Amino acid sequence: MFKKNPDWLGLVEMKVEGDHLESFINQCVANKVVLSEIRRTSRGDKLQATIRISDVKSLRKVAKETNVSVRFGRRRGFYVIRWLGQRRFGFVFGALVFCVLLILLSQMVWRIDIEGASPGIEHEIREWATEVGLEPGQPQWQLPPEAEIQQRVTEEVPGATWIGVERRGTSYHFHVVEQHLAEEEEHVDPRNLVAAKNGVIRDIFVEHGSAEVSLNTYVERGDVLVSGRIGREESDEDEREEIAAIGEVRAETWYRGTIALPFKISGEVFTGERTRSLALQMFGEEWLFWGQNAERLYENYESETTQLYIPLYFVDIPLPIERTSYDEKVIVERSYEEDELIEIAKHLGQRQLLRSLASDAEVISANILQEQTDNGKVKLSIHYEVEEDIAIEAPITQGD
Amino acid sequence: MKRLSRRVNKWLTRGMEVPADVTMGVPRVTMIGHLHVYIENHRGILSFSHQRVHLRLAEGELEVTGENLIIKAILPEELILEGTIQQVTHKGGE
Repeated sequence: MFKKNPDWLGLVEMKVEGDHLESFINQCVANKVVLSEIRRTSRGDKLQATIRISDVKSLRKVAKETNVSVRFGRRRGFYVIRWLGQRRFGFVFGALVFCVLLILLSQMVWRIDIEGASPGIEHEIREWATEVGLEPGQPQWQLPPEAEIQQRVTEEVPGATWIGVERRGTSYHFHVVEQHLAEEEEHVDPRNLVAAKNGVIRDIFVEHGSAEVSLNTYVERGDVLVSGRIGREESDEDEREEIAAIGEVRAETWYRGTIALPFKISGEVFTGERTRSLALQMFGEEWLFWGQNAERLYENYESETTQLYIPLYFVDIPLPIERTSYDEKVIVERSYEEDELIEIAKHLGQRQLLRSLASDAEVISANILQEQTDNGKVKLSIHYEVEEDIAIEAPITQGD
Repeated sequence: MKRLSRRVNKWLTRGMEVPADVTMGVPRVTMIGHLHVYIENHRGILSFSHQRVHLRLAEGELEVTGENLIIKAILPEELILEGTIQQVTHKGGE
C-alpha cells in the first residue's frame, strides 16, 4: 500500500508523434519513465503507449528534449485519489485517523454524574445504568434517548421521586430528587433534669418544665434542676401534669489536674534535604537504577516507599518499580525557662480538660495550686474553673 | 585493460560455470511459444514497427520479426515483447 506510485493509482494512454520515436523510448527508459504496451498505430507513423499519471511531468521533459509531440488519451485507475502517492501521505493519513478517532471517542460515554442522591440511591442508579449499558466506555449511539432513559430510571429505581437525565457532550448527569418521608416525632417519657456535677448555677434556660433552682446557688450532683412536673403549687399531687423537661443549665464547675513537663525536650525535625531513588523489582530482587541509597548521605532519615503505576482512565497499571523518597532529619533539643513551661502546662492541661468535656464547655480561669521542681521536671497542680451545661435527664421519681 | 577484464570474465564463465548473461552482459532471451519474448540485457531500441523490432545489444543487435508486435513493458535492462513471434535473429558480435 505504501509503495510509491503503484500502477493501480492511475495510468494514462497517450499518442506520440515525431521523427525519432525509438530514441524517445530509449530516453524514457533512461529517465525512469515506465512505458508499457507500446505499439505502432495502424498507419505506422505514431506510437501508442501507457504510462503512469505520476510520470507525466518527467515525460513532458523527455518529449521536449527528443522533439516529439504527445497527446494524452483515456485515464485508468484510481487517479482520483492520487494524493495517496504524495510525499506527505503519512502525515495526511495520521491527521485523518486523528479526526476519525476524535469523532469516535466523542460518541462514547465518558462519565456519569449523579447529583443530589444519597449514597444508597446513587449506588442503585449506577447499577441500573450499568445494566442498560450506560457506563464509561460505551458508545452513545447504542443508548436510548435521554427522555426514555429518564422515564425508565424514574420508574425502575425506587426511592427517588424524580430523576432528571441530561446529556452534556460525553457525560450523563442524573439529577435526583429523593423522597423524604416525614420523621415521626419521638415520644419522650416524662423526665426531670438533674445536675450531673457539683457547681454554682450561672445561667438557666428552660424550654419545658419548671426551674427548681435559682442563679448563683450551689447544687450538688443529683439535685433536680428543672422539674418535669408542672401545675399550680397548691393543687393536689395527682392533678399535676408530667412532661419531659427540656432545658439548659450552665454552671460553674471545678477541676483539678496535675501535669508534669521536662525542662528539656528533644524532637526530630526535617531539614528539608531529600532525595529519591527508583528500584526495579523483578524475580524477587530489587535493583536500584536511579538515584542513590540515602544511608550514605544522611545520618538520620525517614524513608517512604511507593509502588509506581500508570494511571489510565479506567484502571491503574502497576509497574514493577518502587520509588523511595528519603527525608533527612536532625534531632533538635530545646530547653525552656520555668515561666515559659508554666504557660505551656496551663495550656496543655486546658486542652486535655476540654477534650473530656462537652463542646460548649468554657474554661474561665486556671490557677496554679502547687509547683514542684525536681529531676529536671516541673510538676504542677492546676485548678480550673469551667462553665458548662450540667443538666442530664433523669426519670421523675415519686415522692421527692 | 578492457580486454583484460573481458578475458577474466570469459575465464570466470568457463571455469566457474557462472551464467554468461551475469558476467559478460550478453542478452538472455526467453521465448514462451510464439506469444512472448523476454529480453534481458538489451541496450535500447533501434527501430520498432508492427512486424519488426530491432534492438541494440552490448555486442551486436537482435532482430525480432512477427505480427502485431507490441512492447508490453520496457525497463532499463529488460524488455517484454508480445505478439505472434516468427523469428528471433542475433546479428553481429563475435
